[in-house]
Parts: sequence; C-alpha cells; structure tokens
Amino acid sequence: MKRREFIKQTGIGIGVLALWGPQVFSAHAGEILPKKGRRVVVAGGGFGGATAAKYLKLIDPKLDVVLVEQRERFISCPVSNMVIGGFKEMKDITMDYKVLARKYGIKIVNAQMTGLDATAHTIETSAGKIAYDRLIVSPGIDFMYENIPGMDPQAQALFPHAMKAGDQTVQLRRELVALVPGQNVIITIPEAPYRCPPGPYERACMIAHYLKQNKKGSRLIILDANEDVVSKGKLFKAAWKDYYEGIIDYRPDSTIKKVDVATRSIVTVAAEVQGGVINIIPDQKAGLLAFQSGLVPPKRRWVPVSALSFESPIHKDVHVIGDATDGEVIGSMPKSGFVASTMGKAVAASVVAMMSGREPLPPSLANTCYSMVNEREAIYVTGVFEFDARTKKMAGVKAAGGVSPERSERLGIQAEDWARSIWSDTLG
Amino acid sequence: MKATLFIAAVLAVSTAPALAALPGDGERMAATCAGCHGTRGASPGTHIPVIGGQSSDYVKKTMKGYKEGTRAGGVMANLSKGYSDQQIDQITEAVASWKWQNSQNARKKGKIKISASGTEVCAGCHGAKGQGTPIGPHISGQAAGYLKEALSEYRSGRRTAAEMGMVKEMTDQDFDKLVKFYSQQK
Ligand SMILES: Cc1cc2nc3c(=O)[nH]c(=O)nc-3n(C[C@H](O)[C@H](O)[C@H](O)COP(=O)(O)OP(=O)(O)OC[C@H]3O[C@@H](n4cnc5c(N)ncnc54)[C@H](O)[C@@H]3O)c2cc1C
Ligand code: HEC
Ligand code: HEC
Repeated sequence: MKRREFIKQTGIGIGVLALWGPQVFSAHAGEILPKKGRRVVVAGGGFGGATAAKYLKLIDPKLDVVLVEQRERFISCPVSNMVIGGFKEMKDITMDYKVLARKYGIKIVNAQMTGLDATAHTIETSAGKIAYDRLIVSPGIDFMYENIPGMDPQAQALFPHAMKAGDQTVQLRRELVALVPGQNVIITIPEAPYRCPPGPYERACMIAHYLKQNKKGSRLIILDANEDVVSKGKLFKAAWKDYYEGIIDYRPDSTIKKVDVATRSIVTVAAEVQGGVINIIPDQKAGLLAFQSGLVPPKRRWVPVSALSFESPIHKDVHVIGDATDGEVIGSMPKSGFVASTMGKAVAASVVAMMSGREPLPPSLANTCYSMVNEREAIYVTGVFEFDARTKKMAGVKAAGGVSPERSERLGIQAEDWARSIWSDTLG
Repeated sequence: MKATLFIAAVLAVSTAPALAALPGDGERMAATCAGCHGTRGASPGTHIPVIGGQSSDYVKKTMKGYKEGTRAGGVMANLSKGYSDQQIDQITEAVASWKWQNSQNARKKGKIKISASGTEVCAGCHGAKGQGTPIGPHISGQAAGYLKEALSEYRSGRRTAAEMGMVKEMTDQDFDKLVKFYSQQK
C-alpha cells in the first residue's frame, strides 16, 4: 500500500501548478522558481502548512510564499468519519488550492518534497530544487507498522487505517457497505499520542450507527491500547450506551500482539477476534518527510522544535508545525487540525519577525474538536494554550479546558459550521 | 492619537526597506477565533455568528459575560476563560477593528415577504438597517440561523437583556420575518 501510495503521489506530483507566467529555470541544475526576493517555502499543505502560507501573506503581502504539496487536492480528515458512516461524500471533504494562489498570490507547487539541504537553503522536490530563506514544514503523520507483528504490506492493504483522509476512507466505507450482516467490525486504537484523540471514538459512533441501521447482528469491537477512552470519555460512553448498546463492544488495555491476514484475526493479550472489516490504526510518528529531512533525533518519533518560534534545534531557519511536533518538547497538546491551524498562524508571525531580525512572538494556540455521536448530535472538547516563559513550553489554561456538558443537535450544527469555517480559514 | 498614527505610517512607508507590521498580541490571540468564526471574523456558517467589525463595547461585554457566566454560552463559556480581562480587551480591539463582512447565509427560502414594517421598533437601538448603534449591536448581514437562535434565547430567558424585552411577546413567525429582513440587509 505504501509503495502504491508513493508511486501515485510522485505520479501526480510532477509538474507545477498555478504559477504566474512561464516557468523560468535558473542556471542551477533542476532549480525551479529562482528566488528573487525574501522567500518562505512551506512544505505540506494540510491544516498546518496551508494556514501558515495564507497567514504569511496576510501579515506580509510582499513576501514570496511557495507552498509545496504532493496532493493535487486537499482532503479533510475532519468530517471524513461522516463519509465512513455514509452521511457525507468524498466531494464534501475535497477542496482545491486555487483560491490560495488567486487571492493571496501563493505559488502552489504540486510536487513531493524529497530532500533538504539546510546549509544551502534549498529543498529537493519531484519538480526540481527550490531555494528558500526560511522553510516551514508541516508533514503530518506516518505509521509504525513495524510495531505490529504480521502487519506486512498485504495486511496494510487489507486493514486500512483511514487516518489520512483519501483512498482509505473510501475503502473503509466500501468494505462496510459490503459487510455480510452478522460479521463483526474491528477498530484498533494505538496508545496516545496519535492524530486526533477523539477521532477513533467518533468513527466508532459512525460505524455503529451504520451497523445498527443496516447490518443486523453485526457488532463493532474496539480494541483500545489505552486504559480508557482517551478523549471525551464520559460523553462517548453515554452515547454508546444510549444508542449503540449491544453493538459496541469496548475493550480497553487491548494492545495488538499479532495480526493474521489468512484468518482476518487480531490477537491481543486477552483474546483473539475476527472481523469482516478491520480498521487498524497503528502507532504513529511524524510524517516520513520529517525523518528524510533529518528533523527527528535518533530514537525519537516526533520533531523537537522551540515552542516559541517552532524552529528546529537541528536545522537553522527550518520550522516545523502540526501533528509532527513533539509534545514532550513543546508542551502536550492534542494533535488536531485546530491546533495545527493555530500553529500555522503563530509560526507565520514569528517567521516574518525573524526574517527582519526581530524576536519571535509568543504563540497563542487553541483547540476545539467536535465529534458527531450520530448523524445529528455532537459533543466537543476545548483548550486554550499559552507560552510559559518559565518552562519555555506551551501550557493549557486550566479554566478554559473542558468538554461540552452534554451532546446536542445544536452542537451538531455548530460542528458543521466549524468545518466550513476552518476549511475557509485554511484554503479560502 | 490618530494623527500620530498617521505620521508613523508615513514614516514607515518612506524609510526603505519597510518592515511588515507584526500582528499585535490581540490580533494573534484573535486569530485563533477564526477556526470557528472565519478569517477575521467573517463567519461562513449558519449559526456561528459574524464577529469581525462588531461593536467593540458589545464584543467586550459579551466575552466578559461568557467568562463570568452572565451570558449563557456553549463553547464560548470555555474559551473565554482562557484569557485575562486585559487579554479580552486586546482581543476585542482586534475583532472590532476587522471589517464587517455580511454572512453568506441569509434566510432565502420561504414565502415570507421582506419588509421593514415591524422593524421600526428595533431601529432606535440597532439602526434603520440593523447596522448597529452605540446602544445595540450590528445585526444586519448576520448569519440567519444565529439571529433566530438569539431572538429565541431572549424570549426563553436563556439570554437576558432589558432592552430586548419586547421579543417575549413575539411568535416564531415574527422572528422569521425579522430574521429575513436583517439577514438580507447589505
Ligand atoms: C478521522 C479523523 C478525524 C479528524 N477530525 C478532526 C476534527 O474534527 N477536528 C480537528 O481539529 N482535527 C481533526 N483531525 C486531525 C487533523 O486532521 C490533523 O490534526 C491535521 O490534519 C494536522 O495537520 P498537519 O498540517 O499537521 O498535517 P496534515 O493535515 O496531514 O498535512 C500534511 C500535508 O503534507 C503533505 N505532505 C506530506 N509529505 C509530503 C512531501 N514529502 N511532499 C509534499 N507534501 C507532503 C500531505 O499530503 C498533507 O497534505 C482528524 C483526523 C482524522 C484522521
Ligand atoms: C469552537 C468554536 C468557536 C471558537 C474557537 C470561538 N467561538 Fe465565539 N462563538 C462560537 C459559537 C458557537 C457562538 C454562539 C454562542 C454559543 O453557543 O456559545 C459564539 C459566539 C461568540 C460571540 C457572540 C456574538 C454575538 O453576536 O453575540 C462572540 C463575541 C464571540 N463568539 C467571540 C469569539 C472570540 C473573540 C473568539 C476567539 C478568542 C471566539 N469567539 C472563538 C464558537 C466559537
Ligand atoms: C432598547 C434598545 C433595543 C431595541 C428596541 C431592540 N434591541 Fe435588540 N439588542 C439591544 C441590545 C442592547 C442588545 C445586546 C444585549 C445583550 O447584551 O445580550 C440587543 C441584541 C439583539 C440581538 C442579538 C445580537 C447578537 O449579536 O447576538 C438581536 C438579534 C436583536 N437584538 C434583534 C432585535 C430586533 C429584531 C429588535 C426589534 C424587534 C430589537 N433587537 C430591538 C437593544 C435593543
């Protein structure tokens, strides 16, 4: 699967979109977009990177901003669980980068970044080399399949994670629809930290809702490596009890020991279970790009950065944001699109400051994740994070952190508004 | 004050190379609001309100009301507690400085005739078109779903304001007319 993904991505990655005028190649071998003025390159156009690119332009319209993204279109992870549940379609969560080019003059390069030369201040991409003054990387996450015995490429293809919205979202939906009634669905959840703490539990609600309506006798078994539901536990459990009693079988402390493709089974310390549809969410680490770029120290999973400027302690003038950052270094925050987006704004301000010899500006970050518990009702978790000058980490403001008192349709409507809002703030 | 700002701006332009103005503390904190309220408060939603360009007194009062619990709020009751009163003042200044942008979610459907009759009573405090006055907030071009919710909350008592007492006597149909009128004002 990974190989196929790679080929597909490089396949679509050749060629440069949305450039002004004819493309000029410089004297340097394979260099594209020769740098004239002050330039920031942003690699990775997800919630972190696309927002950073836009806010760089909002703060300093004269800055040359290049956004390198391997996908042709943006596919949102938020709301992708609704696609799996059958309440939304892929087109509802697929958007393009054109507005960023047209409205703000951001140069969008549809290519894969393949290497970093931090000394020369250039990156390598499948479309050629690009020079920068400062680089912002928001690579997202990748998976540690090696932690699960039996999780070979065949198993990876058969048991999708669907934690990067796209083909695997479609695959999981298709498999659910094809499920023989009476057969079970399995979701496995890795130990935190992983992308979107409430995400797997929201997905469980969506799948259970679908099973309840369409697949008589089928159950959803949740094998959670954590000792309890990681986020909004009480609210999720209340919804499971009220709506999905007898369908959801929640098993905490259930780390996967082995998977078997032939029997479609998963072995944990306590049991062996079989499933007609199996959604394995493996342990996670920073996106491969962070490793390829030498931004992750040996034996670490995530990228250390300064919590003030998001600059890497390893590579000068390179900043990293989003899910890939190391919570132990910058302070623990959920790996969410909301947080990545606020990091994008914070890094944009600091990068503009630092490029003109000024000090980085203390970040102000926030989070809110709504989760749907059925097709109408939602719950939320919030947090506000500020820079603590003493510990040099981001810290949650206690009074602001919390969850919704209950689930409601009103929150369901707000969840939909939230999605529209963050999509337009990121891409519009 | 205005004059000195103007001179500073002229100086900044004339001394090359001009440095981009950095966003202040309020602007950076308020940038986090965009996740729900849209870039610079121009909410694209139906129920989460436009806040960019709203009157500063009203935004400040509202944020402090959420924080102290005098205005009922969902997620705002949590988030507002993340900021000191001084930070709320800074955030408010940023939010109020943004340009008001009408919501794209006016109430369009239905057979309700749009007319100004019945809005005279509102005009004194909210302005003839609802553009806001020093007494009442900007309500024209606000998201339709939000307007309806706000009126219903004054009626049910979930939100209280002496000035809005007249809605207690109104029906849902009255609300629909008012919402249609105000959400469609430009
Ligand atoms: C099912 C699900 C539901 C979720 N729901 C919510 C929610 O309701 N609210 C919320 O706040 N968050 C939610 N999240 C989390 C959110 O999606 C992530 O936290 C967010 O995407 C992180 O942003 P990022 O910029 O770090 O990474 P991403 O958004 O993943 O962006 C990384 C980008 O980099 C690109 N890229 C990677 N490598 C390269 C390369 N070598 N060259 C070029 N481009 C590259 C990728 O294609 C991608 O576009 C959810 C996640 C999932 C899986
Ligand atoms: C997670 C989504 C979310 C975020 C983030 C958010 N808001 Fe709100 N806001 C709402 C919702 C929803 C309402 C409607 C009232 C409610 O349910 O609390 C609202 C209402 C308001 C109102 C009342 C508007 C009116 O016309 O009465 C103000 C003012 C406001 N928000 C300001 C802010 C500011 C300032 C920030 C950033 C510091 C912010 N909001 C961040 C969701 C959000
Ligand atoms: C006496 C002055 C006054 C009159 C008359 C008045 N309002 Fe208001 N209105 C206010 C004030 C003050 C507020 C803010 C109250 C608060 O803090 O909750 C308000 C709030 C509102 C809000 C909520 C705005 C928001 O952003 O949340 C709406 C909607 C509204 N009024 C509509 C109307 C309509 C429609 C009428 C006429 C039928 C009307 N008002 C008449 C003073 C008035």
